[in-house]
Amino acid sequence: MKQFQPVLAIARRELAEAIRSRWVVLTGALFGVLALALSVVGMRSVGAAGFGGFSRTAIGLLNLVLYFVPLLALLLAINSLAAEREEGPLEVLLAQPIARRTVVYGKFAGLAAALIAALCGGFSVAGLAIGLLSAAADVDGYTLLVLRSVALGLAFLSLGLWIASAARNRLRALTWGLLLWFATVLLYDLLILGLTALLGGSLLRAALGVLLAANPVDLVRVSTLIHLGGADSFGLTAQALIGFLRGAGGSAVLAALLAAWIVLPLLGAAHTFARRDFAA
Amino acid sequence: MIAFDHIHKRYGSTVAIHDLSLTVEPGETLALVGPNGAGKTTLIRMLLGLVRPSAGSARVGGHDVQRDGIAARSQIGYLPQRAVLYANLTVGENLGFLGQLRGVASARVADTIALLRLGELANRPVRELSGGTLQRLGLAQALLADPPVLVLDEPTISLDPLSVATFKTLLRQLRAAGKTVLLSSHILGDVQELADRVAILDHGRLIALDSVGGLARRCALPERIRVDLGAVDGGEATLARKAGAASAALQGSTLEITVAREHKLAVMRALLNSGAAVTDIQGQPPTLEDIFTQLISAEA
Repeated sequence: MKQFQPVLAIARRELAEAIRSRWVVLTGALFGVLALALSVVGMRSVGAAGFGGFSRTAIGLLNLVLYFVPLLALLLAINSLAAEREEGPLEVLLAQPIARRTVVYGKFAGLAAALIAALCGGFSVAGLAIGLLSAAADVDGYTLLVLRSVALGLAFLSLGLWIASAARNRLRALTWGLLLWFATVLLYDLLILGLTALLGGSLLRAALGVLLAANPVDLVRVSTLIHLGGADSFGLTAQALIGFLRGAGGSAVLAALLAAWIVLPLLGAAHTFARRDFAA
Repeated sequence: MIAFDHIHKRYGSTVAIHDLSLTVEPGETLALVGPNGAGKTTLIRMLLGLVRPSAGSARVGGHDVQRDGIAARSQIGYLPQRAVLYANLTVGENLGFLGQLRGVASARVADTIALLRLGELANRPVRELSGGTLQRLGLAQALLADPPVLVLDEPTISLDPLSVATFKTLLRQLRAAGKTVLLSSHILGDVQELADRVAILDHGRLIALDSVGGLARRCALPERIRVDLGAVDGGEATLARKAGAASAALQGSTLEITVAREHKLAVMRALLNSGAAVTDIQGQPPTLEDIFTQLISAEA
């Protein structure tokens, strides 16, 4: 237990700083306003007609999550680690008798708490509006959307920490972070569309499985759409994969892949951070 | 207490530290001096494990910094050049946080706050502190765990004269308490006053290591002597030069002489035997600045 004390101390400090800097409140409020607007507009446009209305609103919220959460998590992680290095406190922190990996794990824990607080605040506002406007809101579906959004945020938090650990300075880290966001959120679907046009049959089915696993944004998108019934519009080739993912085994695979996207980049960040030089 | 053993650091084709060996004995204050880019900060960062040596090793209290970094760093209190802590946290929260990392009791945190006269500022966010107060806070965090070794990188650079005097008094107390101090500074007057030995670095190489007196002897620098005269007859300067002074000039009723150590007595004897109306003699041994300038110029 004693070895976790520095991790907890760093996590508490990170969370306290996030709260003091009003970051949690502002991002939570921004996310809440956007989610609320999408929910109200979505529910009104279908006349709060029940399940179909909820699904359409949830898909709108999903799109907000897929654009907003990765960017938020990347900026949060990069700003925390790279800025702390450039502004000075990291030098004092690393001169303490603690392992370098402890710093990364503590930062991850504190930033994760801040991110979860911001997302849960936003989702609570939107959830309340949906509950008031819809006669048959899908509580399980909404909870799953929240959990997957949090998992997506944690995955990009780990990726952001890895980028900040490896980059020479904050500007480079921000550049790499934005490129990653652009590639995973915007460019990736174009790549999949291109491959769909080029490949066919079993080759395409295999490629789709790999491509799905290789991007946490698509993992969250596909797993949420499967639950909401939005995956029915996918092409014939994808249906076999969708069929598998819809089952209990498929859900476990999706959850394991999302967990791997959180844990493996975090381990990568800790390894990179532990080995690099912190020159003046 | 501190030992660098054939330590070497290379960044690509640039050698920052070149095969340097150096020890700091327990209770000793050793100062690192050198021009910008000499390698002082790199050496300190290797001691803290912030930078990995390309070859060789650094040890603190017998612990290898690379293999047993946590034990090595537990012996060190470090004051960096820019003592920046977490801006949105208060003075008390910053010290409390670092105290938690080092397993320090909260009573010790309170004692350190009192020692550095930070009590009135304990609840103030660090972003509101002045440069001098930040440096005091930096020193407080370095002393928090009462470590046997202090590593101070340019500790007086942003302090006002009063704070510098307070810092020097505190450092003398810490030396008296048996602390080992590794100090890096550009302010050679402070170094001369505080350090037992001085390590002069240039381009990553250790070019001299000794006490200020030892370095002065090694450099054979001339001493400056001021001779106050009750009456001036005009021949004193010529007499001093003939007796072996490197230079001698009258400034009002004061004869200012520069003379090598081996000729000092002969010049004084010549002046006194000539019947010159000498009322006072003040010797000024070579300063660390003189020594530093000579050694660095010789290297260049």
